[in-house]
Amino acid sequence: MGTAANEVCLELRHVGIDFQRQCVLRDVSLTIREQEIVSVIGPNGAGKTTIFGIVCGQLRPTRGSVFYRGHDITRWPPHRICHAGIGRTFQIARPFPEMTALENVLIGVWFGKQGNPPGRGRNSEGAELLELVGLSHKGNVPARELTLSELRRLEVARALATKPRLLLLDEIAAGLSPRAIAQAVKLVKALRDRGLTLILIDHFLNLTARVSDRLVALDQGEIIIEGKPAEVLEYPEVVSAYLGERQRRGEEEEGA
Amino acid sequence: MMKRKPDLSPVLMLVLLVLFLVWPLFAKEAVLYFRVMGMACFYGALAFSWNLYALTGAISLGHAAFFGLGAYGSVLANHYWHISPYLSILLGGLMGAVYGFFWNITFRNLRGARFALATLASVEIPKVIIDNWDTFTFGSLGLVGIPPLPSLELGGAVLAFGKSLRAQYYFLFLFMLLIGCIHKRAITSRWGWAIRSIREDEVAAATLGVDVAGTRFQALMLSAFLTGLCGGLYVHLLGLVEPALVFSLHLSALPLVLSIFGGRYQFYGPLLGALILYPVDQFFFHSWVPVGHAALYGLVVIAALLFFPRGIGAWVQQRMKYAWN
Repeated sequence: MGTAANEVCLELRHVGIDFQRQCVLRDVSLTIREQEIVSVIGPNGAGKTTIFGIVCGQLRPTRGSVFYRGHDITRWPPHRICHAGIGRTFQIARPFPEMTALENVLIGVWFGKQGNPPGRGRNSEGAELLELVGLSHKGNVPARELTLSELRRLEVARALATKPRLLLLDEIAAGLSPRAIAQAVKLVKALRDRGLTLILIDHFLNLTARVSDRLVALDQGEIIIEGKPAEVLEYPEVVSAYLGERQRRGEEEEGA
Repeated sequence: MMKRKPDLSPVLMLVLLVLFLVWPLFAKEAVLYFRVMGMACFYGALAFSWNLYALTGAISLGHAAFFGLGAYGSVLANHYWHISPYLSILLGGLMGAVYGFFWNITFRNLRGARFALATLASVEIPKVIIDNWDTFTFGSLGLVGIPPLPSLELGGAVLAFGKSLRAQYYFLFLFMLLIGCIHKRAITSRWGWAIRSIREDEVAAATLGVDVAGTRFQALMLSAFLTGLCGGLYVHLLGLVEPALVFSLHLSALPLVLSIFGGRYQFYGPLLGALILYPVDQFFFHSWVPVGHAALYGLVVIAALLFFPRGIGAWVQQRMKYAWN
């Protein structure tokens, strides 16, 4: 299934969501093209992870709709969205704690596509994915015994096991050492070379600025600007949203 | 890769199976043992049925609802339509499944303690209705003289499940084996992996393509149906029924106790619990403290929770692993 690089992969049309009458996402419209790497940035509580939840079907938007390759997936259940080819990782890793790392990945292999029977041939698929993220030596270790950085990588391997064409990565670099971040950058680039479309969330810009084609800056449930990384990062509202209230207050004091 | 030790568990299973099938042939007069071991198998089947849904992580305290509906479904079908108990028991199972369907709709979004409390409360609804609908269900007096299982003729041999306690033991053993096979599939098959992933993290499972709602639905329907079957069978073994008997908290708690004691995550765990606890209760506790033997039951359960949090089965498996390596 060759897809031209310019075709639309994912489209959010005026998506909004309220939690207990409190508006979390106001009105987000966003178009992601095939094989693009787009990063969503913004301060805590801006609604980044909420967007992932909506795309993957864990959250039902209050307003608007989500289109994936021309299909309206807004009301699809999560497993159907997974079968359609969207995978995600969680910011706070959600492993199956009692299963081994390999079994964690195999769940994705077995259930990621409909009617995938378990079998020995498929087990090697799981082992390959563990190798890709550098966890092959931990295959038989229960997931609850893995470290934070290992859990992050397990999340990625598991999401890849479902053979997604669009992958949403939620803060895979947060809290990692500089060396681990360099590895993550390499991994993201390798994924793009495999033909995946990627959306990243990053809080600290340490990963996104280096790999993204485009940045989308979010604040208080709205997109404030999107464009090439260099442009977005110079935008004054982004600077103030990032540096937060302290900076704003400082400026006011200076002005006074 | 580690060199794998030969897996002896299939051999062990086969040996146990043969033992269970053969011992009654040598103990022709041990009527009490037939009765107790038969009922242990029955409670094993009940615990298997309960655990089918508990494997998804949902601890139910209300399976007596399915049990009681199965019991009354079977008895009333038998009473009004005069159909064979074998058919009416199936109908009882369906009654359980129908109520399971309502659970699935109404309790869909409840988890953990709130789910458990809702299930506990849901037993009261059918109980109160049956208690008060005197003209149809005979109310709180219940029914007596319910026909036992009729004898079957198989190639000249008469299988008197209702009259001979030995034949009944075999019937209950096979009944338990059948439900045990379903229970094993709910642990080791692809479906079993779906159930396990839901138990360990529902959100992650859905993201990886597991149909969470569908799998939970299947498990609950199967669990409710089989518990209904147990209820239907129970009243034909006992010969009488009344609401307080089949809608009792005891029947909701017993499968839970047996499963947790035996080990909820081993395919044989619930049966192990039943085979240990029920005979011990009947043979020892009953004769030592005829009145308060249920209290000893409670003590055993508390001890099990304290010392074997994952059940006897898990503990034994661990020991065997050490012994082998």
